[in-house]
Amino acid sequence: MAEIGYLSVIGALVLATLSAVSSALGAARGVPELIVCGRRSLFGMTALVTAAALILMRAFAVHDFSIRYVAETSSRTTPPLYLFTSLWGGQAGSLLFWSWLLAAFASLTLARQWKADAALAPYFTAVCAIVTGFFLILVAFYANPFARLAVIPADGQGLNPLLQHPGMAFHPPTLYLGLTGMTIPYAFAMAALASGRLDAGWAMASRRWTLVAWLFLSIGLTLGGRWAYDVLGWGGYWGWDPVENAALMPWLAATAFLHSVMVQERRGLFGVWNIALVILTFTLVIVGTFMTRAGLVSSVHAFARSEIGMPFVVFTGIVIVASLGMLWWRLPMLRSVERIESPISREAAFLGNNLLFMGALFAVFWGTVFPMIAEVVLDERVTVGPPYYQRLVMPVFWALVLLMAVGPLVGWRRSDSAALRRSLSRPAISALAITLLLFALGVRHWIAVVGFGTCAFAGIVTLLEILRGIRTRMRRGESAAVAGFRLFVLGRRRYGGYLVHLGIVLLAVGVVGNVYNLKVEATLNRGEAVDIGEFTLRFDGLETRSEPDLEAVVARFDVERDGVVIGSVSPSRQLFRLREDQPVTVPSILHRPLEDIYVLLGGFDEDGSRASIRAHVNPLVSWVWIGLVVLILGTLVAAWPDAAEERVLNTELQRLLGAARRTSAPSTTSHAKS
Amino acid sequence: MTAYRYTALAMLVSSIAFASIHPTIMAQLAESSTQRADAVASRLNCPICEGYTLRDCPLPICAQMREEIKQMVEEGRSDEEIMGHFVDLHGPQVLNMPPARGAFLMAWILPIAVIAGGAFAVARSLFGTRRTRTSKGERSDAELNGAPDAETLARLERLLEEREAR
Repeated sequence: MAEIGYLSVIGALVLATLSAVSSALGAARGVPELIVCGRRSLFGMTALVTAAALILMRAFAVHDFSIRYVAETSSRTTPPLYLFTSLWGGQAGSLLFWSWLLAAFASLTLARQWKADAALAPYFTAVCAIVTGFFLILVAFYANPFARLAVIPADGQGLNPLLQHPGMAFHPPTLYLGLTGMTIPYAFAMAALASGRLDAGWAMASRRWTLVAWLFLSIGLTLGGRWAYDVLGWGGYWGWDPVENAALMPWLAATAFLHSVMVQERRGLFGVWNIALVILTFTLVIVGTFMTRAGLVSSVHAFARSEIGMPFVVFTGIVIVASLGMLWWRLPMLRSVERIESPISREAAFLGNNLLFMGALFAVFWGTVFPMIAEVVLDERVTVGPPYYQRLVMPVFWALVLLMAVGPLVGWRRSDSAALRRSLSRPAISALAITLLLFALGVRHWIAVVGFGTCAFAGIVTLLEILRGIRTRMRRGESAAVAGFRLFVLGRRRYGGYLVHLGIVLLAVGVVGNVYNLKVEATLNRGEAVDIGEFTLRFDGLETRSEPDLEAVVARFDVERDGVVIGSVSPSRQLFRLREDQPVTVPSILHRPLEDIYVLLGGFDEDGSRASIRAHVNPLVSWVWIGLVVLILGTLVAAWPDAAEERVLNTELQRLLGAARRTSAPSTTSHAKS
Repeated sequence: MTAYRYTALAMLVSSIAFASIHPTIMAQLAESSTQRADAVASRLNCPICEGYTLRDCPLPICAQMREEIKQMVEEGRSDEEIMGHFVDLHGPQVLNMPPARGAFLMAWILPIAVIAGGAFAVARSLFGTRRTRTSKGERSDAELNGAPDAETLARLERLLEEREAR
């Protein structure tokens, strides 16, 4: 079976090459037969990659330990859910998984979009085939998941225990869907450059698919954060480590694009910038993938030893040079005839938004690569940890939250600043009142005062905007419920976007909670208690629990407040039978609306009389998750597909508008072309 | 509207002033030795495992090191001395922020320079356009030549807006 899997990969690679060559040739020479051949080859490639992935999954299901990858990442005692996730538990499998998702994404887009964007489709096919082909080359020649072992072991080594968590089951696939999904807008942008069809058509297609990819990337980041919080045991959810940053950077670039593309749709501005952003997003996806997959993160030297390092460097170089070359070639066609008319306009607000996102992105990028540069150039080992990012990125984050309050209220073209002040003054004063109230209630840390105030301001403005929409509909005689429903169904893009903004506000509230984090370390005899903030933790004893694949020591603690037991926590230490060298300390968390009580078991006496613990009180953490869920729901609303005819109509309107703009300013256009 | 603005500003200024002299705040500023030890530990990496700060690391040996930091704080040593002690023991990579000296300054300066440069470029493009706009007569030429007028454009844009925001 493994040989058939490997042959499928090779076959898929052949079809990818065929698809790329015949699509590009067919489009350039105008040969419809070649274009159809390219399209069919891409579907064929997808079928073969799917077959290869299914064969590998089957090998996990039947415990075929003659395959090295299966032996290294699973065992007979691995629970079924994690047997399935072992597919991406190591490098070779995750590269195959990556190719599979990419192929599926490309085929899905092609099936949906073939008619609407007929001029772009063949070039789109070629780009998708090239990118998938690259990953298939890695699978086929550098990291073959179907490689056999000379000696077949009786049992496998099992999946890394840290990865055996529901969050980890769904985090990689969603994250990968988000990252591979960013290939689709990139392929549209490249197709637009290659074909010269640079009207708003490519931007609309790219926006739609970026939103889909962004949705998955957001879910992936959320699950990753939740996994870190539930499993890693340091009490936080975001550690700014290079692997996290690698996924955050494309997210930041894509977020910037999702905002600035609206300016292109509405005003025909930012054409060059938007293509540059799509290229940047895709490049960050590739760079991020190879940073994490090729070990560049831990050390430059580990990277140099990695087999897939060099191909990645070459491919990244080709992507950057080819994309920028194409952009340069088409630059004369991309000059926009319109200009930003006033600093107080939606366009200007989006420009500010992009500046801030790029600033945050650069700070994250620089912090991530600086240790590598220092190692190579200065020959010194430095690390860049959370304090660096907190100092550089958090101010930008708060500026973005503030802009989020102002931006949506500014009109396109030019806005009356007095009217803007009028619509902002009431939310501002309400926010100030809330801040003063919180201050009176004892919120005194300056970050908390500024942070809550900003959140209140942005939250009120956004809620008022939604309310205004509902009221407008109610005036037409709709009931409140119907009006609210129709608002979100018919105005998906705008009101879905507002939901995302509300999610960010809630997330920001949770982030502010950080300044009030408490931590206590204590060693307790049974019955003894330790105070942390307004809570008391009482040690209630130890018990051991035995399961097929692991042995766990569980400590029980009652959580008391004012002498009343309000809940209990049971942190544990787990020893997986196959990885006895790697004990896992599993934190236990009592979630409350205003704070989490997070307890970790350190050492203990075997007889259960003593245990040492580390306990955190993390205020408002729940709001981080609630905010992210709201953000994801909002994205779902915004990304929910329009009916096909609606889409065509919108594209036509865009084209008409673009054409009208071009003819209305002929002198500027001809100037740009010369 | 200006009355609103001044009220808001006055409230903001007075609340900040109040915050800065309030006894609780002052108490927070004069940190306890535990808090200071925590602050120092959060600026150091765990020397053993990757990706944890010393403050967050769950290993027992790191708990000992945190205890050590606390003792040093109580002995009256400065933050720099304590961090220097750990750098001597474990090398410079134990610090989780690049020090603000020499070539390491680039870690800090470059991102700030990029944001400042970007802000400058944005500001110039925003405030520079006003002048070019008032001085150019291209738009009216186009209108004279019988191309779609501003009204048609505006109608199209309105149509789009309605579709987008019903």
